[in-house]
Amino acid sequence: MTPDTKTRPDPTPVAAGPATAAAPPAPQGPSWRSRIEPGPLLRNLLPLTALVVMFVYFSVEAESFLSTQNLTFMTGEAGILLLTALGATLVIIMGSVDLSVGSAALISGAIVAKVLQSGPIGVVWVILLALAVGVAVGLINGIVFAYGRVPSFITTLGTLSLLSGIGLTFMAGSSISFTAPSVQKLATGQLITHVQNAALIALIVFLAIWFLSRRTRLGLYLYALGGNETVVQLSGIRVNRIKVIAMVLSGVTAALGGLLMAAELNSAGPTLGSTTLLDSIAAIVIGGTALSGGVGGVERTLLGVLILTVLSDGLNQLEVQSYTQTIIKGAVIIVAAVFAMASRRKEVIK
Amino acid sequence: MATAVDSSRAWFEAEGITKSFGGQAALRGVDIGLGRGEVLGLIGENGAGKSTFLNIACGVFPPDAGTLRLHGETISPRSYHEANALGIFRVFQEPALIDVLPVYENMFFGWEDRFRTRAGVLARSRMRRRSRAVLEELGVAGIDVRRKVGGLTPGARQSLDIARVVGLAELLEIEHPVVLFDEPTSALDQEHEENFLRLLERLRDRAAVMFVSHRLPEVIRTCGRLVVLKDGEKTEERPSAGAVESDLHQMMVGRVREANYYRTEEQRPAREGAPLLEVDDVTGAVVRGASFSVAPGEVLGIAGTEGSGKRELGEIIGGVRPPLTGSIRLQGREYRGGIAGAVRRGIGYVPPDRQHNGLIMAASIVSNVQLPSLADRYATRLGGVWRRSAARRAAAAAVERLGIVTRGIDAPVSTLSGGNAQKVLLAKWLMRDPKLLVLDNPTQGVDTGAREGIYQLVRVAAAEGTTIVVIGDDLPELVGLSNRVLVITDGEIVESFDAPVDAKPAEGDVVARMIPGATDPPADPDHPHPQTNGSRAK
Repeated sequence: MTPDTKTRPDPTPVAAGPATAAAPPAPQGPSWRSRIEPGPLLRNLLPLTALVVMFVYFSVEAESFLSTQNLTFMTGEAGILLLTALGATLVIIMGSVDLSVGSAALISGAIVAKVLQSGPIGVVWVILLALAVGVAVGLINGIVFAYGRVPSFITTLGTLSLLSGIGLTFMAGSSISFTAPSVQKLATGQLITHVQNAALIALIVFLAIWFLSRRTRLGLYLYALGGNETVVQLSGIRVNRIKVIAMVLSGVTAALGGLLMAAELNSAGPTLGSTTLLDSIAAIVIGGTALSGGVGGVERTLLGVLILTVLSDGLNQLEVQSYTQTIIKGAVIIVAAVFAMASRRKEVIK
Repeated sequence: MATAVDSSRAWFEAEGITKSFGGQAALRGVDIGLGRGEVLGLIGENGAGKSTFLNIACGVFPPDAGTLRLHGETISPRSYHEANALGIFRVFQEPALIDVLPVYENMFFGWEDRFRTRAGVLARSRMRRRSRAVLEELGVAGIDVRRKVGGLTPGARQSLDIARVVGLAELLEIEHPVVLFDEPTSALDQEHEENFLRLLERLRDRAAVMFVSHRLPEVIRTCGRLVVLKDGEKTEERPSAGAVESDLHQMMVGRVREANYYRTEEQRPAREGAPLLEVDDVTGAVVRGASFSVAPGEVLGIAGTEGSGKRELGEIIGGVRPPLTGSIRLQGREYRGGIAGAVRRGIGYVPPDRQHNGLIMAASIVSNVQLPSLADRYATRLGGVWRRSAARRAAAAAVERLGIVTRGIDAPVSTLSGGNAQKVLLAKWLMRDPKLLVLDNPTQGVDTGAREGIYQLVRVAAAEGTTIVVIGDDLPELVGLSNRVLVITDGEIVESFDAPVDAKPAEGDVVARMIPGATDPPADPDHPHPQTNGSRAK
């Protein structure tokens, strides 16, 4: 499944150089690292190549894969996953992590469902409600993390448990169903034929967040924070504010994701968002954003989302057991991480 | 080229050492011999091949061609560990210690198997005893071997790094080790430098020492013989007796060091009128009752030993940390802590540790230099949209103006030499036309050629009216650059030396005031800061 072995360029000319005198082979020393380092071009093309190869493979192997119905379905799946991963990518770019995205989705879905169950309200109000839930979750995460100086991993591990507990209590352990065709349209409607609205919404949010991360000072600060927080702080930038904003954005996109998940099913159940955390982090890593921060971007996450969606849908079409799918997904994440690590060269001892 | 070393006497010989990286030659046929009891100075600019030579000599990587001999036998260590076993040790540029481990574990790190009891347990008490004995032998006082290294002062760390060489050599039963020092004193102040030289002297009678340093006076003082590397080749080998700093400098860079290295003739007297910065009775963790003012365009030096409070004072002035009591005013208006506020007011603070606190090494030049100015220059007021082309133009202009050698403004800072990276750090603040620039150790790890460039930048900025406060470990530099030098000892400002172009204070006089408890200089009735008799106990 890994198409890289053939395309990997032979790095010897770069590493050795023609001027080198005949030297005994040197297995020791830092130079070995360069042997497994893929070139920057390959590194950038690898996820895209993997996506194309998988797409072609599934098209050939599974008849139903290319059907309009399946492709349309995939746009919705990809849209929701993308939405939940977008804010989380920003948090990872600044060198932190948000583990509470799944819980944020769950609690947002639960609250929306509860409100809709008690009576219909306008779509705009539903969206505003989800946004408010996202902002609240993000503020809790951000304030504890930034001002309480608790590492993001611990903070969001805490809120992961806290929020899902509240959400499940809210549901009293069972699904909350509602009837709201206009809300359902938000997810599965097709303003553009064969593209589910969830994908459309995700794409709009994606463009906004791309602009934010690459073309505004907030975005530049996020990358800088991932590079070296002390430097950012000593440059006179109010670091805590930025941390809170990133967490809020992560909460908001996760909550919107939760809203769409509930809208799609006309209900919110205890399993809503249960795969969101792992899938969103997987998409980020597979896309090539470094968990250590400062490197990568939301455009890479888009690629990661497409890879994951094609992979899991393709395997479904091939009727691969879900347990086996989990194994494959795990392997893909590890392979992607290995390549991400290999591309980051250790500094030579000077 | 004939080897000057008598082979019967040479302990360590390198012959025809050649190494290239990616087709670029780092060393070309270098011969260096090292005799018993000798301290050999290896000098050269950044990139001359000094570090590469040390790396090869101690097994970090093998040479492409050439041989190494130790006590007449050819060796080819394949790792630093192997080199240790053979009797070659290195004191790394930055002390290579593990902060979370205690002193004694650091001392014998990697060789714990020599301390295994029969039951296979680590004999810690034996490790501690040995560590203590080594420190005692070297006359290093006041280091508790149980203490974690992270809590030690930089000077103590340096002592430990040297003591480790002695400890390991004894442990491995190597009577006559070869010790390689890589830029050992670049991060030390005057006091620790002397401590270091004392340790070196003790090492000398049993070891052969190679010493790499940028600091030429120190090399001349310390070493018996000098080898000059330039562009990977040995260009000179001579006894250090009679060597003159400017001659060495010429050998290293191929040009005469200007008589006026610190560009003193460009020094302007401080401007008349209202002071730009007023520090009024400021107290911090170490600093006590500091009061002084600085005029626009003045260069003020702050001298002091490690732990004297000079660093803290710089941080307080730079807005990095608020004073506990007292006030600081910029153009008559008080500012309290809050570095964001300080930056907005036109203050720039350059920390001493460029790699960890000054620059994002993995990020590009433009990303680094625009960072403090995004808030007020390179982003729109509304919405904070990055003014990308404005930022890039400014970065390119700064690279041009400061003479930063790079392949472009998108190059990561990690690809630049130390001197060029330091210039990027200065550019980051100079681009803002700051009113006040605080520079803590601005030429740390910067080679001689690039230093001059930095001094020039300081002069130009001062001439344009920027007030500059320099906190320095390099005293000649500090005196050379400054209009005035304050000496801080045990947190108190004990002296203020005027340093006009034609009457720079003597280095010795400044040092005399830096050392706590040193003999007081003749009483000066005009002196505003009487030396107190406070806690001067060591």
